[in-house]
This record gives sequence, C-alpha cells and structure tokens, in this order.
Amino acid sequence: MFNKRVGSLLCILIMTAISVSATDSTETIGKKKLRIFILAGQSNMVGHEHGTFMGEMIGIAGLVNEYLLQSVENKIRLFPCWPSDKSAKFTHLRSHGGFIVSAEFKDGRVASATIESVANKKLQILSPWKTIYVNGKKTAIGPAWMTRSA
Amino acid sequence: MKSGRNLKLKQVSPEIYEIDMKKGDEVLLY
Repeated sequence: MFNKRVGSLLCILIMTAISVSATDSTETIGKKKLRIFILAGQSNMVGHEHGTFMGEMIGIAGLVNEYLLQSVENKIRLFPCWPSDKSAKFTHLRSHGGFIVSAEFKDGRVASATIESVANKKLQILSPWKTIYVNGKKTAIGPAWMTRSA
Repeated sequence: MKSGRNLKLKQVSPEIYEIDMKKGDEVLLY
C-alpha cells in the first residue's frame, strides 16, 4: 500500500488534475462561448456567473491536502509530493487511524511534525529523516537497515 | 507529549517507523 510506485503514481495523477483544473480555457459551443474559470485560491464559495462551485472547490482542497499529507490506515506520509523549493506548513490535519497532524516543510526537507493520537492506534510513519528525534530524544541513528529491530 | 508516557520507536520496514500511541499521546518528530 505504501510503496514508492503507488505514491509516485498518485502524485502524478494529482499534479495532472491540478494543472488541468488550474487552466483558464475558453471553448466555443455553437456560437456561445463557454468559459472555464480557475477555481483554486478563491475562498468566498461564490461562483462567477452561474452559481456556486462548492463541489469543485472542496475537490481542489482535497488535492492540496494530498500534497501535504497522505494516510492509509494508520500509516502517514508527510509532504509526499510537495515541491522542494517551496516552504509549507500545516496544522491540525486529520489522518486515517485517528491522528491529528501538524508539520512544516522548510529548506527542501520536512523540518518537524507534531502528531496527536485521538484513538488507540499504533502510528506508522514513513520517515523523511535518517535520524528521528521523538520528543527531543534521538531514537534511530544512521541508515535504516542498520538500526532495524524486531 | 500530553500523557507523559515514554514512547518507543520501532522500525517495521526500511522506511517505516512505528510508535505505539494511546489516546491523548502527542509526539514531536524531527
């Protein structure tokens, strides 16, 4: 479920969907022009000419969330396809497995993450770090295969 | 960490780490 191929494929699909939805294109149907507006980044929940776009806007928010945090069951992956040249930060995103996650991406890497459990489930995190500090305590050193424990 | 418990980190695969968390536990990872 959590291998790199699935993650990469998901990233490509999300980026394609965003690039398609973010374009402002004009098509002609008969003699009347049909305009497709940029939906991302508008927060007033009000459409432009012909009503609201609530469904589409929630969809865009979901896509952006997938950029920041992916979770399957109790497994969490932080910033799976965030561009490395942009800083980002989010707070209190809920993930599968009953966790509330806050994290920061800075200088091309995941700087820190705070995870709170609201259910009694084991947290599994796809580590973006070679060394992990849990509450300030170093808990894994060096390459992953050298520190494996049963 | 809200609960004050000492949480242990366990490596379950080359890239995945597991923390046995209970309700109310909070961890800071970096």
